[in-house]
Amino acid sequence: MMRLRSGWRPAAVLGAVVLGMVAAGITGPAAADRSVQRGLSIGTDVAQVAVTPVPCAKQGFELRFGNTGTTAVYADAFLDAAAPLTLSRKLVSSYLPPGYTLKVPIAVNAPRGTAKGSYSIEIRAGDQKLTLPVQVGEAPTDTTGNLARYVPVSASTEHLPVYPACGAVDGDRDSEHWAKTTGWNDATKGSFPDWLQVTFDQPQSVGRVDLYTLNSKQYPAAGYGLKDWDVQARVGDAWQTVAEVRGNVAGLKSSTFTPVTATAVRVLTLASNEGPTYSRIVELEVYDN
Amino acid sequence: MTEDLRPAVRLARRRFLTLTGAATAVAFGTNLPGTAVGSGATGGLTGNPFTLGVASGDPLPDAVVIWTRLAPKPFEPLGGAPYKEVGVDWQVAKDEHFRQVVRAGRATARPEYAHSVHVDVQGLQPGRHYWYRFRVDGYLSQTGRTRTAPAPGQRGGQLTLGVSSCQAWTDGYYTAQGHLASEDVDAVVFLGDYIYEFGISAAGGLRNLADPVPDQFRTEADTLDRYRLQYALYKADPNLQAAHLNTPWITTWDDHEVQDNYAGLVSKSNAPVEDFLVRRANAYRAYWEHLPLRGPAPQGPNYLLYRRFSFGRLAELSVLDTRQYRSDQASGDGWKADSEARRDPARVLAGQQQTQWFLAGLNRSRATWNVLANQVIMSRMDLDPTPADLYNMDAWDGYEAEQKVMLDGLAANRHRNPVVLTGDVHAGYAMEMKRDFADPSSQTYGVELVPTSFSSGGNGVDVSANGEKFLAANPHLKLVNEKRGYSVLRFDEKELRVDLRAVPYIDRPGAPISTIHSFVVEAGNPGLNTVAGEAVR
Repeated sequence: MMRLRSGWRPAAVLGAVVLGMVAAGITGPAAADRSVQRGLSIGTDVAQVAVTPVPCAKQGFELRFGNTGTTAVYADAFLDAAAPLTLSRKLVSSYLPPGYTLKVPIAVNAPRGTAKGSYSIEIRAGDQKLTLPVQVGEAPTDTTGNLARYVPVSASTEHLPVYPACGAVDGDRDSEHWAKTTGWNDATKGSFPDWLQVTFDQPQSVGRVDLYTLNSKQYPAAGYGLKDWDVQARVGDAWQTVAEVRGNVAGLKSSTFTPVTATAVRVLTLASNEGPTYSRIVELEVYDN
Repeated sequence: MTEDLRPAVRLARRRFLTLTGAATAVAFGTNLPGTAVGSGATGGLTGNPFTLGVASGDPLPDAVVIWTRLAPKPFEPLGGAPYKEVGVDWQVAKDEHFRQVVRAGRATARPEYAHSVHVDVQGLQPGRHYWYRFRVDGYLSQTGRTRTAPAPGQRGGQLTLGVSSCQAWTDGYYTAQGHLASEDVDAVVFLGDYIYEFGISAAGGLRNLADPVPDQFRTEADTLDRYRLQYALYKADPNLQAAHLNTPWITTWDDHEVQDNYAGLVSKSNAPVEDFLVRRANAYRAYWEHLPLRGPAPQGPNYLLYRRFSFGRLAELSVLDTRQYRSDQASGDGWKADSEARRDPARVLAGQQQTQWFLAGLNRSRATWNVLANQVIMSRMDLDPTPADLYNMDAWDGYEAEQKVMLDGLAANRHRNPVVLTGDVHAGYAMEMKRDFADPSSQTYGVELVPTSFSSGGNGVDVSANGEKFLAANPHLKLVNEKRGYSVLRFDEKELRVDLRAVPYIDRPGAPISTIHSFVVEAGNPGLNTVAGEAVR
């Protein structure tokens, strides 16, 4: 008999097998401290990473994480970059057969406004350490008046990795590039509405939204493009519908409306010409007028 | 930091409190205060480590596995736990107040196993409930309830199983799991797709969250750290925790625990086998770490998951693994017409060793009911209502030679009342297994039940266009319902009662559960008898 708070028996295992304590056939770390694990190698595919400080920039490096020993191991590589740099992974753990090198893409990003200059990423695994230099460059500026370029984009869902939301604000309006990460496709087949949103750094006057839906030779807009959608602007904390598009069959539909001062713009998709399948946007552009 | 919780979590949390009287929920940006009962930290933990709940599983007459994982910040590297071993105390008692502790000890949570704790608690009494809990650094876990299997050879009695599969986190809320937590079942049988490997968008798919899912979830799971993250997200869900809290689970995997429709050594993208086996090893390890399975843990790309459980003389449950050993799908996968490749006797699904293990066990079994926890549909399932055929190359139909061995084996053991439980398809189906599926008047030797999915498929419909085609093309298919939920199976010596239970929606929390349809299967007289719900045919 034991009482609730008084009683945890001394450290003895009675009639129990505690699992996960034996690593048969695997060289594990002998000690509790795994930072001394030997026989690992770390490397990268580039000597330096160039970073453009805008959302959606595709940049980074390939981590090469190897086992130079003669027995299989489970091992961890820690990646560390001082703010404001961000890494797609801060830890890579894997099973590594003897002689095997794992290759893992690591995305490196910096927010807009990050000072130009030299930064670095520290990588460690077991007793190995590596410092990877990072050069942050100038942020590009849009000269066309398109407010959707170089600002954060998000979506209800993304059909990854081929149809990311970033593809809809990458400056590429060409539907023939479909399925090459240059357009957005949601991940919820048959379910509407979906949405795609750009968020501004500060309130912007918005009076026109151009939507390029899928319209390639193989996939014409009348068969596969967006049919119905609402254009919404976030004014203060509230979403306002500023334009409604119904029955669209064209590759480009431009919606103009009385300008509003908005902190974000989104397209709320309602129907596709294909029926109950997907929302497909090749490019979304937002202008003052 | 409760005020920072987004409404969805708050709602889910309230439900969890209702269900269990204890709660740990996780917001992405913060961690809730834990249930600290003292101070004097020694493990180096920086907050409540029991954010992923507790679980138990694989019940035997005298033993059960209890599980937890230390993860103070479950979405951070190492779950926010220190990069060293941590001692974890555990107790098992005959009562929920721990006045009669019958087993106790200290386990070691190690970083190489994601600080998971699996204790195979032995020397227990058959056919009764036990309560268990963990303690570390003054933090006390939720109290879990589990149940041992009846004594070997015990006759009579009742066995109640909750059965489901496929719980894509991004397809909606875990309302069904929350309801299952309130059912009084002896065990939950989970038929695969516990996680999905895909990257997760900020809005969390159909959950449509205002509080964004963190950036580290965007990429597809491939390495061990990334699979662990996926499990952490799933297991942070209060309704899933509740479903584990009150009953032991018996789980198997299907494809998405590794990669969509992989087949043995063959990945969907036909990656080099050397690379795919590293991924498979990472996925299998993470699976073991997050479920209440016995050891030893997977070491490398192979893991023996198929196994058998006995519930006295009433029922035997064989759990299959139809992914690890299978040949590549025929004809490039998908729905295809009959072909020589489909019938090639060299191609296997379960593999000869597993198939023989199952059939030998079935032959030896003295149990009234012989239940098979299976992943993909075993009976014939034709998608083409015309005289032509269209078969799923990923299901048993795509491996016709081994399908025949299996079905012939079940038919030869008709008197042992075979019951096949199947996941994968995100639908509730009830089928009579026929000597000749094309001939409705031929002998029925068993039933195949698909209990529907917990969440995969989103809100779902009663019967989709494909569901209508299946009904038209397959006279042995007696029920189709494509809503989300689970089935409850109650076995006794005379009959098996099956209740298919479902919720009307999962794109927002709080849907009620109801029974869609009930069947009875009589022992010794295989076939489906409708007792509640509209008879489909």
